[in-house]
Amino acid sequence: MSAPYKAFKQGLTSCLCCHQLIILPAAGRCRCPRCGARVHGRIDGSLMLTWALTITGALLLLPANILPVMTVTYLGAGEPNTIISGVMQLYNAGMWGIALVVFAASIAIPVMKLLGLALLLVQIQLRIPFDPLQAMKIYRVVSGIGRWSLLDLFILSILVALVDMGFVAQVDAGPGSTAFAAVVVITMTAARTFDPRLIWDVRDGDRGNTAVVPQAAHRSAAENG
Amino acid sequence: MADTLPPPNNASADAHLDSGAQRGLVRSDKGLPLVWILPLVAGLIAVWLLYQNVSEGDVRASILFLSGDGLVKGKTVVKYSGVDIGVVQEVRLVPNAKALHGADGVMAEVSLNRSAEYLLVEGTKFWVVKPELSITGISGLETLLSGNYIAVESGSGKRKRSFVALDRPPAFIRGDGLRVMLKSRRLGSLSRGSPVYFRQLRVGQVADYRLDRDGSEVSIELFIRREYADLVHRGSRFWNSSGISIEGGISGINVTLESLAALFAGGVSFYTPESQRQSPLAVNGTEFKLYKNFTAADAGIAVTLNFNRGVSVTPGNTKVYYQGIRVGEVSDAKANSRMDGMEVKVLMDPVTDDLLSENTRFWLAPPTFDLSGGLNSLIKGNRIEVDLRRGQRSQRIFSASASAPPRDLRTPGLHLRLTARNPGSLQRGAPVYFRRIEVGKVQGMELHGNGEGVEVYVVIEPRYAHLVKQGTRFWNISGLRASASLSEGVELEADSLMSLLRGGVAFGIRREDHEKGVQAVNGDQFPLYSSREAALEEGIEIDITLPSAQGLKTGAPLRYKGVQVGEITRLYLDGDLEEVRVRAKLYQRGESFARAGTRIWVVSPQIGIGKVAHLETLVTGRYLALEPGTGPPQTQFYAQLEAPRADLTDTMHRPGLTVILDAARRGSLVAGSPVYYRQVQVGEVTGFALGEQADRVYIYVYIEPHYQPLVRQHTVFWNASGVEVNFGLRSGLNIDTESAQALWRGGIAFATPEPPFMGFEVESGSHFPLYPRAEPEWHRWSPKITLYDTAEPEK
Repeated sequence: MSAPYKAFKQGLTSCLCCHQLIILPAAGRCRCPRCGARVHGRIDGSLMLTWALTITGALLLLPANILPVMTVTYLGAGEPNTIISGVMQLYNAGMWGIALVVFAASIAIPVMKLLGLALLLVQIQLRIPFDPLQAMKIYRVVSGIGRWSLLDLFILSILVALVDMGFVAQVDAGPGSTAFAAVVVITMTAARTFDPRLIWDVRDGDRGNTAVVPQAAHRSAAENG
Repeated sequence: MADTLPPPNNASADAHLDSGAQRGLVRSDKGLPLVWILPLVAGLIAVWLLYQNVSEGDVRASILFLSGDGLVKGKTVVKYSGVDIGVVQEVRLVPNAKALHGADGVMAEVSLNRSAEYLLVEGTKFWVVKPELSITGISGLETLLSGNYIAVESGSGKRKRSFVALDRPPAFIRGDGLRVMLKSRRLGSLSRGSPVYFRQLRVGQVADYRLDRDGSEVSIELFIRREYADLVHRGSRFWNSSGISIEGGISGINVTLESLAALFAGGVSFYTPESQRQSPLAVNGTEFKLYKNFTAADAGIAVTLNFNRGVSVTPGNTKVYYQGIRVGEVSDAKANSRMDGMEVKVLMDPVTDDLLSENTRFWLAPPTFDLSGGLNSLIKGNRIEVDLRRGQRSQRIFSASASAPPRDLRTPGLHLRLTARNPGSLQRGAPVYFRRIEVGKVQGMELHGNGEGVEVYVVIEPRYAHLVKQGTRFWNISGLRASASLSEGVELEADSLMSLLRGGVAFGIRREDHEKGVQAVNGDQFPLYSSREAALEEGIEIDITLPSAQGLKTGAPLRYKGVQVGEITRLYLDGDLEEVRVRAKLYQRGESFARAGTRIWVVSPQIGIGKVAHLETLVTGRYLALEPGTGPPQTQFYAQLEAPRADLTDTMHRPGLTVILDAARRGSLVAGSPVYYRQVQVGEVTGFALGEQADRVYIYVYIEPHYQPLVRQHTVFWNASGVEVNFGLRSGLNIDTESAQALWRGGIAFATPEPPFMGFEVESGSHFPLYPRAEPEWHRWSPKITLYDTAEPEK
């Protein structure tokens, strides 16, 4: 197989905003002459940004799961619930279906997202040989399912607003929900900052070093952050 | 990144330009790895949380319970001073626990807040709080909602992680105070938390109780709050004042019917007798005897009552009341030394001490049925009433009266004396109303010296005293009054439920008296009338003799033209049983009826084919109707059983025209039959009389003044009763009657010829023949006659 013909190697790229084809300057960064958006041959420091956000998300998972996300007060009595204790309560109450959904949305998805991102990052960073098509699948899943964790926050905010009957019943959001929201937002941002084109760059780089000098210089800059 | 860049151009770039791609604009941009602040912050948060979790995490302790009743894993909380400090994490069985003398126990693992760690020391006690409902108190009610919880009482000592729970709440009451011991043979209804009262003020509570070692007595530990501790002397007397044990029998109803507060009312009361006030103060652990009640405690003030005759009182059962409040109890009753009365010993509640003076009076009150005092005092047995009053000197021996004093001039207010023949259902304490507002009370009643009538003593509250003036009328409103009429239905009236049962007095004043009235003063005397009408209506009494009462009743009205002008006050048989005598009162507006010539008759319902009248008397009762006379004043009358026939000679003098028709037979005419002119009724038949020689009938016909000019000298009258039926081949069937009314009441018609044949107007008393039927030409007469204006005065 011959090396694929890549626009980047020809010094070309397209504006991500208005899709104008642009000749990349040697610096590799410029503005779109048509719409003024920033143009990247590759997103600047994509790897580093994604790493930072992934690590932040992972760290924030800790308070999100330790701190109570909400307090349901019923007839004056109630105790704060963490995500896990909420899931356990649902499960104990026999509502294992809802428990499964909550578990998936609140715990499985954020963790899977972080794991998926970490996997991609490690592969690219260490140039571990991998199947780029599979990596693309992982990326699509990670960036696709991320927003579904917001469902929890959505429901929580509705509960807080609706269930406020004073002594009889009340729902209060806890600090854990803030942390959880941060996790969701940060992992979504992480997925966005990841530049999937790097997956292919790695493969092509491994196949043959036919790239022209400026591009090679630029690529190494992008990879090293 | 490289900051110095070569000019971004080469040949190939130009070529690309030509093919449509555009050259990007270079702009320098400094990149800082600011993004790494995020994981730094997140890391700090996580670390801080971990630290907090470790440093402020729960402390675990295990508590051994005799029973796991009410302990729920993850639910049952541990509370100290009402604050949740932990929760039960695990409950498990412990077989043959040593701490419980080999019994099986339940081990509860609890996790406590780090802040409550200081409680986990030796001497700390744990117990389960459950809702408790007892006769003397309710505790732990909050657990009904929140479930049982584990309560903690802090101790002091070495750190400890394993505890044995108490099987009941500890006696210890937090706070400073005096702890004294009571010894009693029985516990009664006391329990932990029962209040301790001093002069009905709560000063402490029962802290604990236990059986003495030998089982002969119960020790009750009282906790008296520090600020009241100096009330307890060594000579103080304690007695059981539990609500239930005091009142048995019929007043046991108290406990269940009054509020829950009555349940709390039980407890211990104490009092220091006068003689013991100087004794030293009690100290912690001082022992006292608990008496059954304040009588037994001898804490009551002994008072001797001398009754001047035998009274039925029972020691221990008859109570002494002051305005419905129990203030004492009879402790002893015996005949006095002279055997002409009774000497009753009474123990009065110590709170009455200052009020037992020379002004205080005792009397025996009979059982009363009284709605005003609430259900619990609905029926009271014999009791002694006391009127407590401050005085100059304290007194302990009183002479008591066997009956309630008829009046007590010391009660504030206006004291009046009402005289009545019969007080009805009036009772002592009955209300006095003015415009249905209670303004006073009946204080008592007394027979007149000669036995004629009763004196009723009433007192009007001071603020209403100005309402009573000279001329005020008092009347009795006892019982129920009913009035009924066809148009207004039946009306039952009682001034209040109280007045039904206890009677009552109302008063009012007539307007003319009100203006000239002088303020009444204490001791004024007023008559007490039997009803409002009797009181407010002045009038004259008349006597009516009747052949038979005919269904008349006392109170039946006397009416003239439908307006009540009087009423029957008495109905009685004549001495020789021949006749009925009626004593009636004519109201002021009816006084002009008391004249000679006044006619009185009984109005009773009449139902007949010719007439239905006075149907309303079926419901409202019969009454007497009057027709005024014009003679000199007179008060003796003789009444008829039926409405009098109109005096035919009298009718001549009535306004209008009365003519006499001579007929051979009366026909179907009745009094009231109509008289028609051109089929318009212009008068009526007033009566009949046989002619002087009995050869004819005189029919008296009355023509209304308005139509008087219609009757002329040559007027012809004919009998218009019945139906005239003519049948002819050419004229067909012709049925003729003056009116449907004339069909069954009969009737007379007349016609007057046209001028100049009509003649002059006639005077009352003129005679005309009555033809059996009309000639056809009469119907054709149509003279023009000017009628009198009705407004014009007649004759």
